[in-house]
Amino acid sequence: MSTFLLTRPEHDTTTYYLSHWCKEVISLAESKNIKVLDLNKEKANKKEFESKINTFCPKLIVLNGHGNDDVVTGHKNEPLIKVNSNDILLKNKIVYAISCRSAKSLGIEAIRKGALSYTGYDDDFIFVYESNKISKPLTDNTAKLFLEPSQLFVKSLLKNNSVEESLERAKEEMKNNLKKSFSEEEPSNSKYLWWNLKHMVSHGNPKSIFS
Amino acid sequence: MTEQQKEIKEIVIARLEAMSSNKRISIGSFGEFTKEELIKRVKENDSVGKKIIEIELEFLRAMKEGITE
Repeated sequence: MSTFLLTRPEHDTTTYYLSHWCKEVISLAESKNIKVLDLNKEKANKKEFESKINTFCPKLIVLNGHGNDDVVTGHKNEPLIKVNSNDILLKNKIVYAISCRSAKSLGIEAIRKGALSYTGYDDDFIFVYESNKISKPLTDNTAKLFLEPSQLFVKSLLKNNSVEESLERAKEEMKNNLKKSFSEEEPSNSKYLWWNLKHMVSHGNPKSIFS
Repeated sequence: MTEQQKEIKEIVIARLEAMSSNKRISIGSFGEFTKEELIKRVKENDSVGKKIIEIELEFLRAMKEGITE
C-alpha cells in the first residue's frame, strides 16, 4: 500500500487555511486506498514527523507550514525538517512544501541527499483571504484562487501523474485564475497570483511518480 | 530617499488603497496583514513594506512582457 504523509499545523490563520484546504486531498487519497499519515495540529511536531517517516517510509510528503530557505516548520513553528539536520529523511521521497522559500535551499539540499523530487516556492508564498470567512476557509472564494491550484498539484500526484505533469496542471490553473482575476471587481489579487506562479519550482526528477 | 523612490512608494500605496477592506494578505512567515497595515509598512519601509514594493514593481515589469507566458 502506498503511503502519503502530510503535516497540517493550525496555530494561526495562515496554517489554519492551508490545513483546511488540504482536506479534499486526504479524502481523495483515502478513496484510493492510500495510507494517509495526517499530522494535524499538535501532531505536526518533529518527534512525530521523524517517527512516522522512519516507521512507514511514505513516498509522498506534503508539508503545510511556515518556512524559510532552510527549514519548514510545524505546530507553533517548531522546525520539522532542516538543511543539514534531518533532510536525509526526504531520501527517496516526493515532497511538496506549501511554505515560504524552502525550495531555495532546503529543496536543493534534499535532492542532493537523495530526495526524488522537491516542489515548493523559492520565495514567499502569498495568499489573499476574506476576513469574514476566517472560521470557514473552504467557503472563501478569494483564498480558493490561491489554494486550489496548489491542491491540484497534490491531487494530480495522487492520481499517479508525474511531478512534471502535476506541476504543469497546477500552473495552468494558476494562469487561469490569474486571467480571471484581471476581469474581477478587484484586480489586486493578480500580482500575488502571479508571484506564486513565478516562484513555484520543482527540483529533482520531473518524471517521479507516486504509486 | 530619492525622488524616484518616493514616487514608487506613492504608486504602491495608491494600488494598495484599491484593495477591499475585508481582505487580508498572508505573506508567509511575515504574518497576515490588512490593507491599512500594509500601507503603514510601506511607509515605514520595513521588511514587509520592501517585499510589497518588490512584488508590485516586478509585477508591473512582467505585465509589459506578458505575465502568463
